[in-house]
Amino acid sequence: MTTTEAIGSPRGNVGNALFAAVVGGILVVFLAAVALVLLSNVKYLAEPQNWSMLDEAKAKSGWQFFLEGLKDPENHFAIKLSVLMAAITALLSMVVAIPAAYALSRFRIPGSSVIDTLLDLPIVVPPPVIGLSLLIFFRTDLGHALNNLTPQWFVDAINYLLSKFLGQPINDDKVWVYSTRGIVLAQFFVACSFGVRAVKAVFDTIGTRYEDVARTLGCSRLQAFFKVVVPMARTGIVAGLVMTWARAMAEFGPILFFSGATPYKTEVMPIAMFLRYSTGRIESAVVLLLIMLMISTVTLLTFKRLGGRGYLW
Amino acid sequence: MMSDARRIVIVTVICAVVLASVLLLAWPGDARQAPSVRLLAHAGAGIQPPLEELGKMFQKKTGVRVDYSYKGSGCLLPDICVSEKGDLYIPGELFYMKQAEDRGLLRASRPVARMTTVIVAQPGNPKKVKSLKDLARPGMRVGLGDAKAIAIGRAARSVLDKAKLRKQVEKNVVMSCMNVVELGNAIKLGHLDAAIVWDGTAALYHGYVTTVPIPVKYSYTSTIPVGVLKFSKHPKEATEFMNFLASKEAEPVFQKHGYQCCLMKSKATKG
Repeated sequence: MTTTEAIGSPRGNVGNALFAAVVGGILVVFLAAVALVLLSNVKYLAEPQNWSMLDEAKAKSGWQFFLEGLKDPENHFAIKLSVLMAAITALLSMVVAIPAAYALSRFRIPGSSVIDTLLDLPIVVPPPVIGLSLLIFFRTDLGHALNNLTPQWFVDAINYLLSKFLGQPINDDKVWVYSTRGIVLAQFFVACSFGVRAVKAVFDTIGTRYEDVARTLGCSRLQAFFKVVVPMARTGIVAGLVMTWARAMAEFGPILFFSGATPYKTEVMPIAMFLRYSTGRIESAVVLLLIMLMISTVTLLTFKRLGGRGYLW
Repeated sequence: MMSDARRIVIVTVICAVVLASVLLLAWPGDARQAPSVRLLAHAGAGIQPPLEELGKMFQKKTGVRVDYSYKGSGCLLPDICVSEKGDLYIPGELFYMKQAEDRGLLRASRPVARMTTVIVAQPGNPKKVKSLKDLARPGMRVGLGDAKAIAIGRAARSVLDKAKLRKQVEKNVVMSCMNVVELGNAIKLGHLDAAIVWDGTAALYHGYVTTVPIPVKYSYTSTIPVGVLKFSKHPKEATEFMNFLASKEAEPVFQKHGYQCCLMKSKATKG
């Protein structure tokens, strides 16, 4: 029995139809607004005669701008650096997030509201807050000690691998501030909080019954975790990993503060867009924007395909 | 369960293959040989084009690579104070250098290029902006820099005061910004009719905005300085780069990007 039948009167039907139309209409208008705002970037690129007095720019189509952007070596650098740094951040985040999320999901911990708040803070605070905090932290004695404790072989190995992968010499010293590898640190806090939330949602849906059964059959807690929970949660964890990666890719403020906006060194995609914009090359910034939009779309589709949930932050 | 496991295996294999092929395709044969000394310069984002070019020239000449960390000039000093890292400081105006000097952050500094105020209007000048007076016309959408925070803001105020137009123009100000490039971008995007910026800024938009000169009697000239920071780990190389920026070799590059040069006439001052 549906509600429409329950109300029964024609007036009720009209009212319900009207309600559905209004609610659906608002959704449609909002979706149209999102599409409109994003697509206006394409229109901007496609009509250079509206913003340029240069014949060479006017003669180009939006597609040519886009192709040029795809061929630009500085963009290649930015894309490679973004993808790599976000991947490292996402993997490190999962190393922390899987056990932390399991603990949060399974153990009754006193003061859980405090933990919840602390966990969500990096996601909720304006991103530059993290960047400035890191900058301040590395001024403290502990921060200096951390710089000094970073082993030289580690620094050398990272520099070597980054130089090889990026095709640009990277030779940072032990200091983390303004270094290329520091990008991971700038991304980590937000991405990791995000990862814990994503993985905890997966563990919560699985419930404790399967582990309990496994334990009555003679498994230890550790065995139950690895043999029962992790295999069941695997797809969800991969979905969480994908979203954590996307979140790390999107990071801008903390990197601007902590790693700086240095071309061919700490120039991830959002930083590259900022650098173009701050020298007036708006069309180059728009090309990068479109590339980021495409990457995000593909990431989201992958996330949904893996069965990830839409209600994560 | 079986099909799930199989799917996971397939996804993992695909991911591994994609990652491996990306790595293989992206992996260049040999990374270029790393230079021994790298300088870090905190620089105003708007001066990026000449600085990038000059940095490359300097590397070719001396083997020393200069990395720039770009931000709006007003944000550079707080950055330097907090991080205490970097070798050089290149803000967009002398005003910021004075602040660094007052805080004892400099070993030495010298002016390298000059810039002067101009009016920029939309491409093709649809609002027919011909002089400062046109900025006071009712209905004009004008942008100026924040007079308390940034150099171009103070410069524009001085220009308008000299032309006795400040009151009238300020009525038309719809945007007050913290970074001069935002004014150029707003013109290029068509959100403003006119703005007062540096000639070096206007040069960033060559072909995308209309530049209207301001008569010398009203205009305001400012200086881009370079300073060597006191916590520089390579003061010798940093000083060398500072002098390079003020040299005859650097002159055509600055000029190409719309700046005038100070050359060697200016002596380096101890900070």
